[in-house]
Amino acid sequence: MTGSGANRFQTGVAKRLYRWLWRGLGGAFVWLWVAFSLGILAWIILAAFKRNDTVFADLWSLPDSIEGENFSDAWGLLNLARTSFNSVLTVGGGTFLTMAVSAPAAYALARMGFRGAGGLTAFFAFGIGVPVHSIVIPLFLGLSEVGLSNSLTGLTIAYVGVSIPFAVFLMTGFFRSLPTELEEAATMEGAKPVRVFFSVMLPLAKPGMVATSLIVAVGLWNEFLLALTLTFDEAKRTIGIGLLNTFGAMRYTSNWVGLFAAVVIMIVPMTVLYTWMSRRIIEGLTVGATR
Amino acid sequence: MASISFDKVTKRFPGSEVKALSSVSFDIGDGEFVVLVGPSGCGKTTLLRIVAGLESATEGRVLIDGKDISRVPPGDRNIAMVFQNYALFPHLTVEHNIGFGLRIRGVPKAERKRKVREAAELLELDQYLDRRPGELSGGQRQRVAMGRAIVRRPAAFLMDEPLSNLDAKLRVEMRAEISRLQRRLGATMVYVTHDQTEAMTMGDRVAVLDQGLVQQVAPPVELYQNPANVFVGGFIGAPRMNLLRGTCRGGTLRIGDRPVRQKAPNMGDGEVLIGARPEDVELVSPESEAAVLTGRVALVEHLGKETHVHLDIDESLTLPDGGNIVATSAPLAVPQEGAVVGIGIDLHLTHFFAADSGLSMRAH
Repeated sequence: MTGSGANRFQTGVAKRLYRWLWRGLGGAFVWLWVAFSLGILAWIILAAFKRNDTVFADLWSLPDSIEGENFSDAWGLLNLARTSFNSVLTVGGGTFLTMAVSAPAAYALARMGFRGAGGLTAFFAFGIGVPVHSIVIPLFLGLSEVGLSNSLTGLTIAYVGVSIPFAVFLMTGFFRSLPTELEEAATMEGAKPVRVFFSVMLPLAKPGMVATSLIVAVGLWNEFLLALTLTFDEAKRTIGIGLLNTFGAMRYTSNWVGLFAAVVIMIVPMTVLYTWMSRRIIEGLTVGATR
Repeated sequence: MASISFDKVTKRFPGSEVKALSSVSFDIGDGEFVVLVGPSGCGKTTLLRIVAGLESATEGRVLIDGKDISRVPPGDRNIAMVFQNYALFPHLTVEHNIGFGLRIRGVPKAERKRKVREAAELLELDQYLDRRPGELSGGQRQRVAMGRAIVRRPAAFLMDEPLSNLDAKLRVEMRAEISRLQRRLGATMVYVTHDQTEAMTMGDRVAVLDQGLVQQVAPPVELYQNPANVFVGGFIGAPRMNLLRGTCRGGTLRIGDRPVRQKAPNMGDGEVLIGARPEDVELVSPESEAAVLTGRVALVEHLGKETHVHLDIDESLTLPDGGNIVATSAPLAVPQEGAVVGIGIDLHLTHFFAADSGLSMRAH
């Protein structure tokens, strides 16, 4: 082997080792993270079925008996019938309205090429970075002004407002990734812009719409601050606030297992939804990258 | 059907000083099949898109049946277009893809179904009507795109390199099919391609474009036999026309410093480019009187029915510089690689172009 050949061989081996090391470290970190998250989830689910006197005795033991009572307690503590209904209403309504506004806006920003479209897109991107805490008080005052504080309608409107920047930003990227020829073909066939949007572009944007809606919905389901500040009647509370109330009650009753059961009730719908739709979310978020 | 006229159409894209199209003027007759051909970036697709209304001309007008359509929206021009990537709607079935334009125009369902079925039968797509584009082969998708174009019987068809995504065999089949379809429908068709075989075999006339300028608009055979300038001469024909640098003084033509014995056509004194098609270049003995040049055989390509012989000659004699010319020879009369041969060129079969302007001086 010549000198330069040996050098090349050594460099090749070093590169492979380096790549192998990074891949190994990356893989280890991912699996550690997955194990941690699943571990916490599993522990909470297990704990939700245990009794208060045994729950902390052996952290990883299986429950002696399935305590269905925990869930009926949690149901009451969370006022689940009411809070889940309110959550579904505000999250569902908020997500639907967010998409109804964001999809056409994103399409216009991505494809209609009007003056200032770039600046507006950047403005929406900036909106993602605005902390909700900084707008809570003006939002509360504004909604009070129009008589919508302490109402599910007001909360839904606030949800739409805080979700639009992210939804518009994500959908703009998505619409940009769709082929121009399809729009042009529809235009040549006589379709006007509104028709092009509804008949061609919107159906094609379905993976992006699904992904965006799910991310928005999960974010709103877990939303706490706006729900806490913009509603104050028990009848207007969402499930997140119900959990807070459960936590408050637990401090006096030490009903830990009831609290864990409440947590399980709250996270299960979104976990199931996410798991079920995960493939579509990934498709929706990566479609632009592969075309 | 309709006639299309270009009246000094000029296109400059925003932010660019270069003209994508420069004062393009020619007419396409009613029912005529015109192919726009040229190298990448010559402006052929831009011209097509201006007719479609997907781009607007910076200056000049496009007339359909004598009416200026510059301000008419694409959908109202009664023109159909087949895109390079077919642009089929992936979420719609073949039936809905073909019937899309009819649906937009509010054609009643029964009539729409009948028309779609007719178009599908014509294109042998009737058994695929319920499928989506993703479930079809490249050739079938191409037909669906054609179906969408023909179903509403537009005044003209525009085709933007519709065969470029098909394999070679299918391309030959579809080429014939599109030509047949055009004749059957008696349709005005503007067809963009960079493939000169498509241009030569399909068009009633071919418009050759280069750098935004129309170089020549003529029937294929005329284009081949009488190229208007050196670009057309070099672009049309495969293998390409050999171009040799020569000078003409007092009726004597010289290639390099070698006088050509044949009497040169009367063209005045000056530098000329001599264009000789490979089939008009004869391989002779180096000592033969017919040899105007000698060259060394660099490469022999056997194609079966004929053979292409690549010859190295003095590199300053050819355009572009490089000293390679190609002769087409019968398969049995092929010299060995490396052999020195005489190159005979019949001046009555060659094309002469002015060295400065590139324009044809005389064509045979």
